[in-house]
Amino acid sequence: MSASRPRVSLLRAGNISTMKRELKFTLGIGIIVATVAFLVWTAVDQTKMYMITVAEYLDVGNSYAGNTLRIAGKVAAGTMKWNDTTNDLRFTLTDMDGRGTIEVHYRGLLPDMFAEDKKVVVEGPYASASPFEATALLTTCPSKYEAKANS
Amino acid sequence: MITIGNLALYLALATSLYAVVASIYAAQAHRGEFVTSGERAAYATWGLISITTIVMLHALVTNDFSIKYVAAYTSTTLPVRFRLTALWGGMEGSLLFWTLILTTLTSLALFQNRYRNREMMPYVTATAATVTAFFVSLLVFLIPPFALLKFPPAEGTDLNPLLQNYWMQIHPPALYLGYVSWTIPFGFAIGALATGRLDDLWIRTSRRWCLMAWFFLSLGNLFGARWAYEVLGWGGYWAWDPVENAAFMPLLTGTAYLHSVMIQERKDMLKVWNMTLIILTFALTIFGTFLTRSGVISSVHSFTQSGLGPYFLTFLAFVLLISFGLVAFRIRELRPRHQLDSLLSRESAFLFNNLLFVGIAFATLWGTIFPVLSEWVRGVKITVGPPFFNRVNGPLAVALLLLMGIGPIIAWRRATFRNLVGNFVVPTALGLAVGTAGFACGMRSLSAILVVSFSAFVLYTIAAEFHSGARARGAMLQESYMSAILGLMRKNQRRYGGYVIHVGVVFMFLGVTMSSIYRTEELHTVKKGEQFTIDRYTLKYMDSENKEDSHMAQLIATLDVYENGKQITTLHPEKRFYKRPEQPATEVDMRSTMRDDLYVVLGSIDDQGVATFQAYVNPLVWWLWFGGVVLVIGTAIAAFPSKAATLHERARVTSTIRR
Repeated sequence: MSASRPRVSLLRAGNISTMKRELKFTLGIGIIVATVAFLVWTAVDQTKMYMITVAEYLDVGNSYAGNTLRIAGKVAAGTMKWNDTTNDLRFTLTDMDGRGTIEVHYRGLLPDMFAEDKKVVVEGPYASASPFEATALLTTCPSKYEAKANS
Repeated sequence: MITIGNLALYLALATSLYAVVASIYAAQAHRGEFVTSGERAAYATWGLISITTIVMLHALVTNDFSIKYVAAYTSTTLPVRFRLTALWGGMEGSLLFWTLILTTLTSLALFQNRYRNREMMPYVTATAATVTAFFVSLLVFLIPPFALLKFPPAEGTDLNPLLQNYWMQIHPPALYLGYVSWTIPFGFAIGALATGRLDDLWIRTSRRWCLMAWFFLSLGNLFGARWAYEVLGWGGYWAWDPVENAAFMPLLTGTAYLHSVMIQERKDMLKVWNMTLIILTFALTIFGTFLTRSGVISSVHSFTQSGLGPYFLTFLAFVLLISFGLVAFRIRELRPRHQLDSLLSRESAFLFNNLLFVGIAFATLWGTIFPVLSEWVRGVKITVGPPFFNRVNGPLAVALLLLMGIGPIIAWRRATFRNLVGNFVVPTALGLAVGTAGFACGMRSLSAILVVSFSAFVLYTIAAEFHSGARARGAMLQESYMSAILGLMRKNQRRYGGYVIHVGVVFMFLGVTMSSIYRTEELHTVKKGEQFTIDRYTLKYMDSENKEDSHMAQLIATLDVYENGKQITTLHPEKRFYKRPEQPATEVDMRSTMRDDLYVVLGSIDDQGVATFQAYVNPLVWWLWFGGVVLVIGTAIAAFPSKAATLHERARVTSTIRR
């Protein structure tokens, strides 16, 4: 165990070139750490999406103007209209607690797991006009741990 | 049968707890007989968990629907091979499978070290048995795998169709092996801290375990990506979903660790850092299981809210507290004996590579838990998607790629001007030339240009390493060039195996970068006989067909694919409607070449036969998978047991002692 005792390091000798070297390393490490922090900070700012419920959207939606939203809700039964020639999907998104609804329009392939009465998250920029133009639909992918919840 | 399964499981809890207590007592009181006793208890746990697993597999295969788990994940029409893989189709089974792997690996490690490292082994036993006891107690108290149904159904719910897939048979075992294997090196780290044997003994002993853990974790990630690409049908393979991130983070810190231990072995430095990395890697594997099973972070893969979350977090806190407590306890002895000599040295290239890996892991963690953090701190739930991860991790990964080229050719200790000129001029010129050529060919994305340019740089430096090594060896031993290359790899497996892995990683970089930047995606609605064009391909929609059997209904489209006016292939994308559980699913069809993948998804076909297709052209994505193959070869070279390596190791150890 005595072998692992630290030898007198050069640092303690107070050697100037050692200090310069230490400074260089501190600087190098600092630059990387700062870069990571800067990238994370700016990227969060530029890509953030607010996750809200339908009720929140109806209440204070306009406070999110200029931001991208992810609104969670349920596809109201009997409201899904799918045009398979134009790939237009229209449906009513209801609040999970039944506190209000939003009309949604989406253009693209119908996701496999999209169905009435199912949970869905619609993503898109805030807009005061109806319907809400969704740029993406996030359905709950049937992961392995979900089967029980379905049955 | 079920009684046997339950009994074995309860006994396993007892034996694993006994293994912990006996081993720690043995080490503290220096009682050799209790070391043996603790190890035997660990072997016994393995036997008992094997029995539990066999009982579960038997129930799955024989469709014993009185067991809730069997009824939830199998059916009488499910092929036997999928009944077996239903073992990891659900929460209870997957944790049982996890425990089986853990106890098996523990037994292997104990057997491997039955005559070696005796001082350290009780702590390895104790660490592994603690983790085992945690998982077994989850199975005993919270999610009993053999929970019974009062009214057994005549038919089970069946395994999710998306999981009835080849990749899903091999993806979870690979991933679990990768996750669980980290427990063994972690156990050795704890052993080193507890006994105070802080030289590189624990690192050398656990090196092959680390390599194995790293290898299976890489494979698990790749298989998962491949599964997403083939089965999910959105044209991509990686979505920065929390579940994916959970598997990616330990791979990052683990890779950092594999690199930084080389500095400890060589320079006796970075001891605290290496301890930190192995602890973090293990903690991230526990965090990963927590993420995927707690429902705390909402994910596109939705999970049942199992209520296991708090238990995992408590265990995680316990692990971190004990581990870093031990590090703090040994902090004086962990001080480095040397210092880095120069910023321009291979050591510092390793150091910066480590910082970047950890930086990417941190950014990934931050993005993954950001919704929870923002809700705590600001009361609003803010989430970040793939753009966040690409924006942060992209530049960091490109910097890593560059370091991968610099590392092997910069001198150890201190790079002289001569070293820099001699080794760097040609590869740098080549990199610049390739970058310029890329620009001239119309590449306008800075990331793409940097990646091709750095890739050329890295590939050249690796080729040069092989070439100069082979020439030197060939001249010395009068060998032919080819046999010199083989001899080189045999003699120094770790180094050249590592280089081969680097080549695989470069291929993956190229595949990922090009397929994400230059992907073409188009949506077309066409009548029968009509055609549409994407990139250089023309697709003609020929026909549609309906098929139905007891299992599913299929809607199949036939597309003839033309390139330069010549038909090259016919694709059959499908839409499937499974009957149990009722669920539509997409069957992608693609034509994959080294140049690009033509990937076609059938959206829908209406009553008149008008069909909607989503087509993608993903350039160079083939290289991602091929890079995976190269990575497998490289790992095999690095880890394959050989006489030369053993002798080399022995010689090295002797020389260390003499020094």
